[in-house]
Amino acid sequence: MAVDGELRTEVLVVGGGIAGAVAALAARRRGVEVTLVRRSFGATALTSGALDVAPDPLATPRRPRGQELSVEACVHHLAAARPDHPYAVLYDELGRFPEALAFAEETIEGLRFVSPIEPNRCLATPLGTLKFSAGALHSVIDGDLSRVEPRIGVVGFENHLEYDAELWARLLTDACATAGLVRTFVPVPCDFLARRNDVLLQPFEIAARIDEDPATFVGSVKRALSHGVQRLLLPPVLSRGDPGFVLGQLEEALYLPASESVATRQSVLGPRLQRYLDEALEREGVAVVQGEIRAATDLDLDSLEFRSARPRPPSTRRFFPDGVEREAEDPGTPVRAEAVVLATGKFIAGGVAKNGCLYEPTLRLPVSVAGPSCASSFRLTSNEISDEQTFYRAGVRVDGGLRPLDEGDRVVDERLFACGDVLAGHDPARDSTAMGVAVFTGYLAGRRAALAAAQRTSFAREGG
Amino acid sequence: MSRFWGNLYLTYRALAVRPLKRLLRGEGGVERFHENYGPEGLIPTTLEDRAMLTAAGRCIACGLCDAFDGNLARMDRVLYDGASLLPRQWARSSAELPFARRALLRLRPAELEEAQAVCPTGVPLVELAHWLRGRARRIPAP
Repeated sequence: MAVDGELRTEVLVVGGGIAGAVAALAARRRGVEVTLVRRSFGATALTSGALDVAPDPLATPRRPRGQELSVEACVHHLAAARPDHPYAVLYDELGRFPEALAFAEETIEGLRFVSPIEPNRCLATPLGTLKFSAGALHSVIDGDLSRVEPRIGVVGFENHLEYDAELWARLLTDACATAGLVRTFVPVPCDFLARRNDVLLQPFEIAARIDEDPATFVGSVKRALSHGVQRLLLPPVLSRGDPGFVLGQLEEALYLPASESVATRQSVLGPRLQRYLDEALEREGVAVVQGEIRAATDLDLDSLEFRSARPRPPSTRRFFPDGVEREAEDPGTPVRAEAVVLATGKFIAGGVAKNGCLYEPTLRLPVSVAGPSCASSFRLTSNEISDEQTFYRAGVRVDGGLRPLDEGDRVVDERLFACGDVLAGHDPARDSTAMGVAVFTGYLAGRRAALAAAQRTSFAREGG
Repeated sequence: MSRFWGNLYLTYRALAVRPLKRLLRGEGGVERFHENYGPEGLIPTTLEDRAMLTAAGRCIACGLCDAFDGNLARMDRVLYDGASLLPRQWARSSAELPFARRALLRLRPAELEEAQAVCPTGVPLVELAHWLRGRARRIPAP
C-alpha cells in the first residue's frame, strides 16, 4: 500500500512480527480500520517453528520434562516467580490466555497450540535435542515425541553435511532416554541430494529443490525406508511455502504419518510463519505499509511521521536522556491515528536500541532495565549462557492496560499501547516465553486499541 | 667517548637528515601508509568507511538475506555463498577483500534489493555491495 500526503487510520500498529500481526487482527475483528507499518521482517522470521508460551518450572537438564505441568500452570508459576515479567504485570488478565491462543490459532492459518490444560509438547530439533513448547507450526506439532508411535524413522540426506540421519537418530535416542521416553529412531538416509555441490546446500535451497520435484524426494525416502517404521520425522526443509502437499504425498506413498522437526539456523520455518501472518492480515483486511514511524517530538503521539524503510547509515551522535538534540531528518508524512500499538520488538528488530544509552527509537519512551536507566551492558550481561542476562530484559514498562509508563510511573498517552518483545521484564531468547508474550499481549493490546479508537471516533462524531 | 659520537650522529639524523628527506620526497602520511601496508591489503579507513562498517556491524548472521538473494543461483558456490557474506566476512577485514574480488565483480547489487528488504536489523546490503566493490578497487593488486 502506498502513502500519499497523510497516513490516516483508526488503529496504527507499528511492527510486523507476530505481536504486531495479532494486535492488528484483534483490532480488526472489533470492526475498526487498521494499518500496520513495518520496516522489514522482525525476529519472528527467525523462529524455530516452536511457539513457546512458558517453560515447565521444574525442568532441568537431567529431567527435561519437569513435572509435566499444564501450560496454564506454567504461565501462572512464571508470573508468580518473576514480578517484572509481562505475565505478572497482566496477572489479572491471565484467565484470558486460552482466548488469546484460540484467537491466534483461528485467524492465522498454520499455527497450532495445545489446550492450556495440557503440558508442553516435546519436539525434536535437527541437533538431536528436545524442545518443549506449547505450540508450533502445523507441520511440526504432530511430531510430539511424548505421544507418537515408538518406532520413528528419521530422514536425512546422504550427500549433505548437516542432515546426517545416522547421527540424528543416535542423538535423539539419547535425548529421549534422558527425558524418560522409550523411542527407537531408525535412520532413513535418502539419496535426494546427489549432485556434487549439494553437500553445501543451505536449508532454504534444499526446500526449493523439494518444491521443484516433490515426487523424486518421496521416491528417495521410499527407497531408504526400512521395515517396521511407524512414523517419519523430517528435517525442517520440506517446502519454502506450505509443506502440506509434500507431507500429503509422503503419507499417501508410504502409508505413514510424517512431520517436520523444529529448525535451528537459517530457519525455513521463520519466513513460512511470516507468510502465514501476511496471508492472515490480507484476509482480514489490514492495510500493510512498508516503512518506519518516528515521533518528531518525544512522547508525542500527535507528532508521528511516516518515512520509507530505506536503510540509513547509523547515527553518529550518541543518545543521552535530555542531552543531545535529534539529528535533522527529512520531514516525513504526517500520521493521524486514534490509537497506536507499539510492537517493534527488542534489540534485533530495533524496538530497543543502544547508542550511548538505551532508548526506544519510535517515541523515545523511557527504557527500563535493572539498575540505572541509562545503562551500559556492564555487569548486566554474563559470558555464561546459563546465568542471568538482565540486559536483554530491557524494554518499555507498561501498566495493567498495556499502556507505556514514563519515568514517574504515569501513563504516557491513553491512546498508546505496547506489546510483544518491546515490553520490559522478559528476555525473548532465554525465558522461553517469546511467542506466548507476543500472542497474549498482542491480542489484549489490539482489542484495547480498537476500543480506544472507537470511543474517540464516536466522541468526535457526537461533536465532543 | 664513542657514546658521545653515537648520540651526536643520532641527533644529526633526527634533526637534519629525516626532516630534509621528508621535505624532498614530498610524500604525506597517507602515501607512506599505502606504501607500507598496501601490499598486505590494509587501506586507510575514511569517515564513509566507518559509517558503512558500523552499518555492517548490525548483522546478526541470521542468514535470512541468503534465502532472498538473487545472486546466489548465478554464481559458483565456492566463489559466493550468499548475501550474508558481505557484512559478516568481507566488510570485516580489507585484507580478505582481494580474495573476494572475482565474486564482487560478478555481484549485481540490484539483485540484493529483496534480501535487504527482509533484513531484520536493517543492514543496507545494496549500499554495502557498492561500497565493497569500491573498497576492493582501492586495494593494490598483490
